Amino acid sequence: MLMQQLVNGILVSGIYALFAVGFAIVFGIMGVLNMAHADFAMVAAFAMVWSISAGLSPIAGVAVSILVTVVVALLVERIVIRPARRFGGDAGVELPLIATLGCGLMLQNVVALLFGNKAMVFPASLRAYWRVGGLLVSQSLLISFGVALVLIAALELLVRRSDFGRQMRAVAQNRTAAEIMGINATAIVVLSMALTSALAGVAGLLVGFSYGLVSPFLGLTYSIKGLIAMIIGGVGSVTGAALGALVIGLTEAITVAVWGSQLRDLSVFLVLLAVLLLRPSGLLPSAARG
Amino acid sequence: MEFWATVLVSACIAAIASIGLFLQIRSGQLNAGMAVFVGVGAYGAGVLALEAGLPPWLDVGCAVLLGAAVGAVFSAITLRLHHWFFAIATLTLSIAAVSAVGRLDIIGGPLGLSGIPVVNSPWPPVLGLIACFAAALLFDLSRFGLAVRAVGDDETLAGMFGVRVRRLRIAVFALGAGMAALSGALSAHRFGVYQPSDVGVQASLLLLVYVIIGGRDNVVGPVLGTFFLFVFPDLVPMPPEAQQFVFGAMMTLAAVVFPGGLARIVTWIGGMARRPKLEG
Repeated sequence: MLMQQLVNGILVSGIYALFAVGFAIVFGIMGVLNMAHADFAMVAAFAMVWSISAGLSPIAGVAVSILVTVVVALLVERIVIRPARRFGGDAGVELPLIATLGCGLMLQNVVALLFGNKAMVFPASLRAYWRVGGLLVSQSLLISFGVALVLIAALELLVRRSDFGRQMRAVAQNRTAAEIMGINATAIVVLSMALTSALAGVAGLLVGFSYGLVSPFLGLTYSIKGLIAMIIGGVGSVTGAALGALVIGLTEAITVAVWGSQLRDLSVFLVLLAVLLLRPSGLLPSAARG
Repeated sequence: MEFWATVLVSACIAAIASIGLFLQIRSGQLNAGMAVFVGVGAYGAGVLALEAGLPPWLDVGCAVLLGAAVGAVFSAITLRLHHWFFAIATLTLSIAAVSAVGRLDIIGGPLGLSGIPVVNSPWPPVLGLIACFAAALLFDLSRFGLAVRAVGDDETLAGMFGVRVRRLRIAVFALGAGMAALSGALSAHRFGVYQPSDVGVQASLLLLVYVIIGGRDNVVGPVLGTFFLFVFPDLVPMPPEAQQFVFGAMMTLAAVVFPGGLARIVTWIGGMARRPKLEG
């Protein structure tokens, strides 16, 4: 039972990690906690539901849903986040947080008005299992985990090795200095927003694919887990965020196996509190970040 | 008439918690889990009334003290956290609380408490609101209010000017949590029931929406915001999703366009109306 839960915990952490790295990149580069980030994932899932019911092929559906998500995210960046960031100091973080919380509320309820406020069946899901030595391994979760792992590795490579990644890190470190060095910081911010929302889109599709049901209000659960994973991993680091997601997945799994599923949310909160008290800078040593 | 009286009394109860939340936000503690502290008051009062048979005035009083104590402990644990991390910690607290409360049998488990003695008089909520408003106003205008604002703006700087940051943060959070507990206890005695979902994220975010839309310049803001958002859905009937959408849109607008919220808009209109007289 415990082993089974551990396997589930590790597999589900792939999806959490996709959310966590999205939060981490947006926070690293813009200094904004984008509370609508997980709602972008929800938008992607419902765009997929719509595409399939409109008769598109699954591949075209994936393309359309990620495109829709990126467009929505760029609109949110331009109309909401950018103007809300014009204040300096703490207000510069607090106002975007409140503004994106409002955006999330709008996105959830627009989708609820369009598709109804109940969970919908996701058109492309897989509910089969493999038996590996007495353990049940959900095929869809394993595939999701693989996709997440590949994407995060690619992202880490992009951030570490490419020119774009170097420019991203420069803007994250000091926007003014980066601009003096000839980097178009606004373009980097917009591109990072497009990149992270595409990741959120993939994450949303994987949620639907793995569980077979999507609800307009699924964002909240994943926002919380993604944000906590980001904090546990040390804010602003891709690897740290992915590691944080693994910690959350395992914590949940162990709690469910030992105390039952009702205390799952409580256990995550306690882990967050413990990390904030004992290692406020995250699990990774600070030299490994940046 | 009866209907509007009910709406306004409910708004009074919620406004008490909004004032508490306003004070906490002022001190830099962006509490996105206020419903938990409201729930401490409601469950505290409910259990004392049902299990110990205390009269309403006494169990409400105990619930307020309990709420303030829980608030002080929570604030002391989270002293290291600032604005946005504090917001995430409290948001998580709100989610965690729903699952924890559902497991506690003494407070009714997943079904919640029911059969709490109902007090129908509108006076406790109205007087409670007036008292909290006056207390918050006095506090905000006193030198402690200035210190709180300084802490909310920049803790390090405030500390260098001799403000006892930690003590002040804990005290303000406890005060706010006490008000939240009063709101919860009054609500438990008004409706007679309280459920785990009442301490959840929906309820917490709604309180945050009241304060943000009302404005954070002064104590009038949260009260104005609460009453506006309580009355508005009954004046303009629409499906709940559309209403939530409008709340979200207002919240975004308040953050992006009017950081001062409704209160500042009202002051501004007031100023516009007065100006011609001054010239004449």
